[in-house]
Amino acid sequence: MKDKINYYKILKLSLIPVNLLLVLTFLLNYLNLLPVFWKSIYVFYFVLIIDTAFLTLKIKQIHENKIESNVIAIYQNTFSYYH
Amino acid sequence: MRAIEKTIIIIIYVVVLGIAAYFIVASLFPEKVPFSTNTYTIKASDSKIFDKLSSFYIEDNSVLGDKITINDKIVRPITSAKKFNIVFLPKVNIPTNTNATIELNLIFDEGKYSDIYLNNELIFPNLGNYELINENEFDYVYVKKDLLPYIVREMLIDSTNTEEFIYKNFPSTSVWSTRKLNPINIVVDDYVKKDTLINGTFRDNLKLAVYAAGDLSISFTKQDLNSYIGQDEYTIRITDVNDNVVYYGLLEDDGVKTRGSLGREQYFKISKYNLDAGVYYISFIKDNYNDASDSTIKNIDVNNNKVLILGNFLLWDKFEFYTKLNFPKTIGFNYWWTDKDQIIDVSGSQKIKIYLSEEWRKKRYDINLTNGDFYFKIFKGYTWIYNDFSSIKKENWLEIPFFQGDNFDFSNVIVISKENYKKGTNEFNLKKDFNLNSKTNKVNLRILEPNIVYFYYTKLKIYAL
Repeated sequence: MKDKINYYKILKLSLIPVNLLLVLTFLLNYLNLLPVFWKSIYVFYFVLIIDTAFLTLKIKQIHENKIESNVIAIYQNTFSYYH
Repeated sequence: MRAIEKTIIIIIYVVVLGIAAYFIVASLFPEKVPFSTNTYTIKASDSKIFDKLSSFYIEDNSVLGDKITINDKIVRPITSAKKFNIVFLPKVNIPTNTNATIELNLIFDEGKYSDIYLNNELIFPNLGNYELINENEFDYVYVKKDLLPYIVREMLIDSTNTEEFIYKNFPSTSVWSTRKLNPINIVVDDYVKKDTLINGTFRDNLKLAVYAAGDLSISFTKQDLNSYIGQDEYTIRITDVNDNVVYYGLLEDDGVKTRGSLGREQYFKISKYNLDAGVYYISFIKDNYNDASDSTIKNIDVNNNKVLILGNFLLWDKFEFYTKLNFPKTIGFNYWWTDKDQIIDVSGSQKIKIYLSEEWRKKRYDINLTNGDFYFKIFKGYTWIYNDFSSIKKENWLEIPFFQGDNFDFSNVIVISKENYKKGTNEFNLKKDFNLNSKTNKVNLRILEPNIVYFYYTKLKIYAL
């Protein structure tokens, strides 16, 4: 049986350039240098999807026994409760 | 890590860092962006669905109907009279005031016309009330249908040059044209070097046309009203028919910048020598420092006998003037102060007494006159006179080539350049220069008659970044 592609790892390593791109577009936008066609909000949405996907996978990977003490899971539960 | 995962990660790095590199280059070094184009096109044959994903698109494409074919061209009818925007969002950081040209190509329904406005400026008039009277290699010349009973077609003097054709057949008339008409220098036979006094007081802008040969001397008195706070100035500009500036000067304030009584009289004299024979335009341009014009020009004296007042003027006192109408025309009057109701005496080809009663205060009174000679006597003044050409006396009258107005205002003659309109195929094409900036650029278009004009394409060309 073939191994499944490790999407978690791919996303984890992709976070670095993707978030750098977000910082760059925000910076160019703040300095009024970013051409108006490339609205930085679209880059923000794109990065948000990648980051959310990564967090989702990370939460899924937390072991049942450690979920109570995991910081990410605590935050996730807290936000879900208040929502 | 497996090879496939490595490959995916490498691809993601290449793509994301590539986008980042593109953003940096597009923002900081726009001229070095590879594969960038300077020409953008919207065609009627394009799908409307992905419009907003383009950097050049029609903002509200609901004004365009479904595709149809006319003359083997796929076009879309413009189905609404509402204004719509053609939008350009630059993909690279272009400098402010970058030169660009927008080209617009439309097709008219057979035998039908509509007013077309680009950025609220008329670029093509509705020719429904006009008749084609002359065609040459470069232009179509239309005249208002109302004037046809006064025109004998066989008597029209033919010319291969549009400007000459208009001057010879329709002198001193208002002309609207899709192109800038070339000035004509004329020779006036009954020109005499004799002082002409314009015995009136004028407020607001005033423009004169004067025929001069050799020297031109003009003297006048400026007197500030001092009714508003702020300096009261006039700029005087004398140009020749080619719009070359012969004289430019500032007539300064009398020293009273606050509200006060009528200022002292300031006398000015301007003399220019060795001028080529021809028509010269003298413009008195009011300042923008006051809520309304706060100064007057009076006792204008010109050292020759051919002087015209061009366009509308505002009288501050009683005045008499003459006008020659080659065709029927409407002349208007408008006063706004109480107790300035007055009688205006019209004589010449028609004898009329106009009573501008209290009920006409702040309302424009129009009088329709036939062709002929008319003499106007205004007893009180303080009124706007809406007329294209006026002179002091008949002997001061000067047939100037034409008066190309920026406003359409039902001009008698319309010139449509063949570069802009092809009558055979009903195609309209216009190229207009404008300046782009780095933000959202919008050009608005409005077609007053729906379902008569068809959109074919529009093109934007940007010059050197």
